[in-house]
Amino acid sequence: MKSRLTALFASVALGGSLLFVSAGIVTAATSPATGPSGKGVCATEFAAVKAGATVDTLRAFGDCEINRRFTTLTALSSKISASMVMTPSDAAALQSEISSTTAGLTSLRATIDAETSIPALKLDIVKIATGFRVYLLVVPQANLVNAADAVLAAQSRFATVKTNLAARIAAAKAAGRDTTAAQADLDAMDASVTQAVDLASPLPAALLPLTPAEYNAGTAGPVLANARSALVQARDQLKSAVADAKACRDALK
Amino acid sequence: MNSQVRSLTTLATTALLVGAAVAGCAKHDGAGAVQPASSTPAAQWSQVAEAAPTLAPTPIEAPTPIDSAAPVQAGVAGASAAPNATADPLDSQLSNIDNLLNSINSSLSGADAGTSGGE
Repeated sequence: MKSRLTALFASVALGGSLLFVSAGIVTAATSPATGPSGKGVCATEFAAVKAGATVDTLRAFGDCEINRRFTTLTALSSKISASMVMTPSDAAALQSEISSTTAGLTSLRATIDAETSIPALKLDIVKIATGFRVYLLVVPQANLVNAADAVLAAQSRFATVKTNLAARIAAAKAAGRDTTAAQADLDAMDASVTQAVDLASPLPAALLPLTPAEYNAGTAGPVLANARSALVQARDQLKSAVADAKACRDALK
Repeated sequence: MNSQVRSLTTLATTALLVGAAVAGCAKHDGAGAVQPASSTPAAQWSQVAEAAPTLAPTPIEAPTPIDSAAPVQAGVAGASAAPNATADPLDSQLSNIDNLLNSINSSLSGADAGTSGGE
């Protein structure tokens, strides 16, 4: 029975909760109304379910898992609002997704709180994870879109740097100095920025439409992984561009 | 004998001057006294900004949000401080880009943190 329960709730309490409970280590003592956002925080409720799956213990576990997702979504929404690089359209799309996810989870919580059948409760609890994919889809989606928009925002900053350095190169050339190395550095900076922008440009449009159903079908996961990989490359290109800009300046000293 | 009297007089005068100086410092909340640590980062920043004109003629970088792309220089050098003739605008432009790189790193970490949230 215990192994069946473990399998049933694995999709909800993956990782932290299960590991902590099976190791006999309970890390979270209480679950406040809004719920903490870290994994393993519903370990107490999960342990109670393992000890005896009743309507009360199942509801408590379900409510805890939903509440910690609310906390995560609220924090994510604040992060999006505070972002100074995310485009308004991307921010609006993500805020809309967070709103619909919150509404869906609110509805599911009401269902769970009103449910009196243990088998039905177990199915409802599984939906907390599979129906919304807060941690595996929504959170990575928002963060990766923010990173992509930050790369795109860097383009205009580098344009300012380019104007600055081009003027210095022109002045040095007018003074009769050899500016070959400086110009090569500036060209390298430009090329790196272009590569970074090319990597990041398609990502928001690829990431924003992803749905929990696509994640469950196995098609969203590779998109997230590829986006992350592209953003790491883009970030490294921008770092290289910064180094090229500094080399250009140093070549003119 | 006279030299001894002069030495004693000089010693007494010095002691009086030192005493007066200590008293003066105490009345001004003690320029030489140990200040209590500020309870908030904002208060600490405020104190740095006030002290800057006399203690730090060079610009001091203001803390910025992780996602901030705003320029980080907050020229707090006072009117009485000499302008920094060697300041290169390229530094602030590149610093601005560093902020963006920090934002990208933070977002990549956030994406990883999401997947480890337990689902």
